[in-house]
Amino acid sequence: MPELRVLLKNIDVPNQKDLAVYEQDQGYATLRKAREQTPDEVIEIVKTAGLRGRGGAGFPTGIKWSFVPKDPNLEKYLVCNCDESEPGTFKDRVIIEKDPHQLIEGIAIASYAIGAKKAFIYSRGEFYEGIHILQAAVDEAKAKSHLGDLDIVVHTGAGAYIAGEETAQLDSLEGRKAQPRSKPPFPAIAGLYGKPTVVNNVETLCNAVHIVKNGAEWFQSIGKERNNGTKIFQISGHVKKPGVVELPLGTTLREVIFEHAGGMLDGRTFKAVFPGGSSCSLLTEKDLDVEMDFDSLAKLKTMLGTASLIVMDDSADMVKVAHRLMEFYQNESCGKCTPCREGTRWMVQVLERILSGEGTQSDLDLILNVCDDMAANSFCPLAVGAAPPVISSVVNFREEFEAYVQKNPNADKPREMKVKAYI
Amino acid sequence: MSTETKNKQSENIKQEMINLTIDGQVVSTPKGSTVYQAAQQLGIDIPIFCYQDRMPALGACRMCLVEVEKMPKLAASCSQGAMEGMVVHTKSKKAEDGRKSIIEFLLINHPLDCPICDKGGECPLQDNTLDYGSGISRFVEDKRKLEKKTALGPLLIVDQERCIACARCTRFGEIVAGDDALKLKDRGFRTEIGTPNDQPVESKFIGNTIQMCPVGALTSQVYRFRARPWDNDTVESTCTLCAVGCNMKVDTRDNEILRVRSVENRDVNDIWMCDKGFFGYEHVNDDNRIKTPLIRRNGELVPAGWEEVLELIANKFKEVKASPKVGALGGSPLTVEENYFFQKLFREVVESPNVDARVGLSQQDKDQEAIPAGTEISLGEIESLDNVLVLGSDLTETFPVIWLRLKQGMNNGAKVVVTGHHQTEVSPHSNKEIIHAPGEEFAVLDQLEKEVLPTLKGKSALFIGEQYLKSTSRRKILSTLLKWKKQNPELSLNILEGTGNDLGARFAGMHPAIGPAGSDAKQTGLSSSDMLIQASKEPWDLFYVAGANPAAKVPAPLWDQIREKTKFLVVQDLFLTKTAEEADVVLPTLSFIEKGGHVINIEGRIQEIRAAKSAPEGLLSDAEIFTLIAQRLGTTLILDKEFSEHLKVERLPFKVPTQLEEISASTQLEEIKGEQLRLSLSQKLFDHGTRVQYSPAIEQLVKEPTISIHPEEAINRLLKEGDLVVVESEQGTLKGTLKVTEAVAKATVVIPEGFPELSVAQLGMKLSNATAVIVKKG
Repeated sequence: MPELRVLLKNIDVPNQKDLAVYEQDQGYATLRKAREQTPDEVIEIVKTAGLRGRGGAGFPTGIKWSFVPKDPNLEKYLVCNCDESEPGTFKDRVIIEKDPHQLIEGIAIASYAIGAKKAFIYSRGEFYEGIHILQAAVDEAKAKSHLGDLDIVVHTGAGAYIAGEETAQLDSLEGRKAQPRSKPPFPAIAGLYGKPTVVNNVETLCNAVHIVKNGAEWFQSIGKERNNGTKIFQISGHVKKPGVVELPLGTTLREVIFEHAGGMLDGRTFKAVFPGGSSCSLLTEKDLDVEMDFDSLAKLKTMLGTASLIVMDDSADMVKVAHRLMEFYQNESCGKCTPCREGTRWMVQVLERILSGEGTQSDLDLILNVCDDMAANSFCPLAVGAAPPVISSVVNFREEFEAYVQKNPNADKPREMKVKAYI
Repeated sequence: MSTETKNKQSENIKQEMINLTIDGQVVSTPKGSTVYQAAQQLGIDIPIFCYQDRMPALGACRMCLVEVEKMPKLAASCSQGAMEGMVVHTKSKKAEDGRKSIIEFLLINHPLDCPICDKGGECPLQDNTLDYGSGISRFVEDKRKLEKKTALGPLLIVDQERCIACARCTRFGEIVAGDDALKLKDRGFRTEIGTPNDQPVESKFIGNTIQMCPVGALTSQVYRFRARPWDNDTVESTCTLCAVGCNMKVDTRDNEILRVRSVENRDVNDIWMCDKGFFGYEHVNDDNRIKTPLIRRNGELVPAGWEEVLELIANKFKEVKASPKVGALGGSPLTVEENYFFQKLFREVVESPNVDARVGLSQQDKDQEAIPAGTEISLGEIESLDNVLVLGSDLTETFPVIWLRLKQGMNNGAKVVVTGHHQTEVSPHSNKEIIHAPGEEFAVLDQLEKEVLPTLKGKSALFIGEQYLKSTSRRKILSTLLKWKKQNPELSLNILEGTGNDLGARFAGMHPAIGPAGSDAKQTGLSSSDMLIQASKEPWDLFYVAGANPAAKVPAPLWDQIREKTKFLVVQDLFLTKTAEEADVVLPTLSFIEKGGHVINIEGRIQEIRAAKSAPEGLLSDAEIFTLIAQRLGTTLILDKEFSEHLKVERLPFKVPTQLEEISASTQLEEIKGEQLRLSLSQKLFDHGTRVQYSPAIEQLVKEPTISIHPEEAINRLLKEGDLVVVESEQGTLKGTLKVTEAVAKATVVIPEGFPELSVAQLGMKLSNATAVIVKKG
C-alpha cells in the first residue's frame, strides 16, 4: 500500500513553515470553520471521528476534551505535549520543524473546543531548531490575528524523559521538578495551576485539524474500527530506509518494515522489533503479520505507543539491548516512587554483572521477578514501561542471557551476599 | 427543585458516609476519606513512610499497598479514595508480597548501620522491616555510596545513604512551614537531599524535619551519636521560650538533657515546634551557668554560701520594709507559682507595691493598654479559619508555631491579609499585603475597613502584633478593631504580644496595678520603667531582679545612674547578665527544665512544666529562694487556696470589652520633622538574649542585627548598604550597620530588639513604634 500522507502532506513544500506558504493550502481556514461552530460541536466531531491520542496511551481525544468543565468563568489551559523523548520516536519533531502552523492551528482548534484562552507548547529542550521555528510561527500567526484571543507560549523542557508524562509535565511547567502527580484528580479537572487542563500530543492536535476540515466520516474511512486515521510511523535501527512514514492504522508490521522502511540491511535477517518505542515488549519473526494499531498490538501484550519501530537484526546482542534500555530508565526515573527508583538501578547492576561474566543462573529469574514487582507497584507508567523491554528480551532470547551466564564458572551456585541478613 | 429532593440533598450533605469492607470488617467513613484512613478507623495497621497525616498524601513510597478487589494493581492506601462497596484486603498474600517487595527495594541501598544510627530503636524503617519485610534480601550488588555527613546548616546533618526519598522533609518545607528549606535534588537513584542553591538551610522549623524523618537520614548536630533512644529518660513538659507554649518531651541521659521533641497537642502546637524550642535547651547544660550564690566584697563578686546571702537579703528587706523606693522586676521565665511568691514577698513581706514582670515590654498603663495580650480563639482553631488579618505581627519571629497553624489554615483555604512596617516571612504567602510607615496605622485600618472587612465571610480572626501594640495609639487602634467586631460577630480579636510566661506572671500578680488572678492591686505600684527612671534621679533602696536584665533595656548612661543610686541590687538568674555583673548579690537559680509548676501561654492556656532532670548541686529554684527569704522574715509563702483553684481551669477567659471609652489622656503622635524617620522595633526569634547566646546550636542562626531602611531613604541620605550609621532620638543615639531593603516601608527605620551589640534601648526609655529618629552616616 502506498503512503497516505495527511499530516505529512506538506512537509516537503519549500518554506512550508512560513505562514504565507501555509495559508496557500487552506491554512487556518479550518480554524475559522471550527469557530463558526459551537465548541461542543467541535468536540462532537472529534469524538465521532474516534481519534485516539497519538502520544502513546491511545485515549479517545474527544472524550478527554469533553471532561473539561463548561463553566465559562473557570480558567482552562491547553498543553501541547511536544516533549518527544521516547527512544525511537521522532514524529513530532518533523511536524514542528517542517509544518509548525499545522500544529498551531490544531492547538487553536482544541483551545476553542475546551474554552482555553492560554495554551502552552511544552517542547523537548533539545529541539533547538524546532523551538525557534515554532516560536516564529506562533509570532507570525499572532501578528496576522489568526489566534484571536488565544495566547500560545512555547516552553522549553530541561531534559527529563519523565516530563513527557502529562502530570509531570504540568509540574515542570509550573516551575517544579518534573514528577508525576496522583490521579485523580485528572488534569481535565485540576491540571496546570489547579485549573482544568487538556494535555494533547502534537500528532493528536494535528489530526484534529484534518478531522474538522474533512469531517468525522472521512476520518473513520481511514484505518480500522476503533483505530481510525493515519499514523506517523518512525522506523529506526537495522533497516535500509529509516525515517518517518504515514500510513493508515492497521498496516501490518511486515509492510512497515519491509516495504516502507526498505527491509533489513543487506545480508542481515530480522530478529526483533520494539513496535511502539522502547517502553513495550518486543516482537519477533512470528509476529510480523500483526496489524499496527492500538488493539491488535494490545492483544500481543505489547503496544502501539508512539508507533516508533526500533528494528533489530541478527547482529543485535539482546543482553546489551536490555542493559542499554534499562540504563535509560534508571537515568530517567524521577526517583519519586520506591520501585522505580530502586528497581531500575538494581536491574542495571544485575545486567552489568551478567555482561561482565559474573551472572548466575538465578539472576535470570531474579530479573523477571524484580521487573514484575517494579512495574506492578510503581507510581506512574515509567516503570511500567521499563520492565517489558527487559522481560521480553529475557523471555524471547533466554539462551543469549544464559550464554553470558555460562561464562561464569560459578553460574549455577547462588551468589553469596556480601552481608547476610538475619532477622 | 422539589422539596423532597432538596431534603434528600441536605441529608446527603449531612451524612455523606460510604461503606466499605476492609479485611472482612465493614466500616462507614466520610466521603473523601482514603482507604488508609478507613483502615485506621478499624484499628488496622498499614505501614507508611511518605504519608504524614498533616500533609496531603503523596503515594510515593508505596509502603502502604493494599489489595482492592476488582482493581488490577495493588493500591497505595494513603492516596486511594475509599469508595462505596469497595472490598479491601490488607493482609492478603498479594498485599503482603507487594509490601515485602517495597521493603526489599527500600533496603537494597539503605546502609546497615543501624547499630550506630541515631534512629535505631525508634526507626519506622526498622520497625516495618521487622513487621513486613521478608527477612532476606536478594540484592548482592554494591550499595550506593554517598556522603554520610553533610551539614546542611548549623543544626542539620544529612546522611545521604540512609535517605529513602520519602519527601516528608521537603514537603514539610513546602506545605507546612512554607519556607522551602529542603529540596530533593537530582533524580532516580541519584536523588539526594539538598537546599535551594546549595546554601545553608534557611528555616526556623528544621527540627520538625528531623523528627519526621522515618529513617536516620536527617540528624541534628546536637543529638547526633549522643545516645540510643532506649537509654533516654523522657519527661513531658512545656516549652517556655516563647508564649506559644508548645508541648514537648525532654530526653535526658545520666541527668543531662540530650534533646527535645515536640508532643502532639491539637489545641496548641499540633505536632510542631520551632528550632528555638528544639535546640534552645542547650543553655541549661552550659558551663557558664552561675553555680553558687555570689556576693560583692571589695568591689568583686565572690562565691558565698546560701545561708549568708539569704540572711543578708532578709536583713536588707527588714531595713527597707515599706520604703517606696523598693522594686521587684522580672518574672517572665518563672512559673506562675514563683511569680505569685515573688509579688507576695514584696507586697506582703517587704510591703512594696512596686512589682512588675514587664521589663522591656511595652508598659502602657492599664488605660492605655486597654486590652492585654491574649487570644479569643484557641490556637487549634486557627486551622479552620476562613479569613485572617495579621496586623503588625511578625509571626515567624515572635510566635513561630502560630505561623505553622496559620499556614495549615491557608492550606485549608483561609485567606490572609497582612499589614506592617516591613515584610516578613509570611509576606510571600499572603493574599494581600500593605506595608506602611509607623503612625499610618489608621489610614491602613480605614483601607481595610473599606476593602477587606466587607468581604470577610465565615470564621475570621484578627491577629494584632507588637508593631501596632507598641504604638502610642494602641487604645485607639484596639477601639477600631472592637468596632469591626461589632459589625462582624464572627471576627475574633487576638492580641499577640509578649514572650515566655508573661501571661502567667501577670496572672500571678507581677504587675503594679494587678494582683493575683486579675484582681486590682490593693495599692498601685510603679511600672518597671517608672521605677528605673525614678532610680536614675534619686537614691533608691533596693531592686530585686529575677529573670530579667534591665541593664540591657535602658540607655547605658541611664543605667549607670540607676546603678549608682541603687543601694542594694539583687539579681536572680541562670547566667551572669549585664545586670547581674553589677549586682550586690547574685542568686543562681533553675531553668524551666529543672523545675515544676505552671505556665500560661498566649491563649491563656494553663500548662504544666515538669522537671526533666534534677537540679544542679547547690542550686535552688526561684520558688525555693523566695520561700527561704520569707521564712527568715517569719512568713511562710504558700499558694493561696483560692488562687490554686484558678490554675485548674484549662484556659483563662479572655475578656474583650464591647467597646472602649475615649480617654483624653491618649498621647498624640509626634510630628515628623525634616529628615526624621519613624522607628519600628522588631523582634527576632534568634536574638542575642542569654538563652540563645548560651545555646551554641541556635546561636549560629543569629543574624547580625542591622538598622534597616528603604532604598529611597538611603538615596536621600547618601547612604548605602553596609554603612556604619548613627540613629539619633531625643533621648540617645545608637550606632550600627545599615541594611537597605525594599522590604521596609518608606519613612521607616526598623531596628531589632534583643541584641546587646545593637541595643535599641540606647534610644531611650518608653520607646514606641513611631518614635521620630534621624539616621545619618556614623
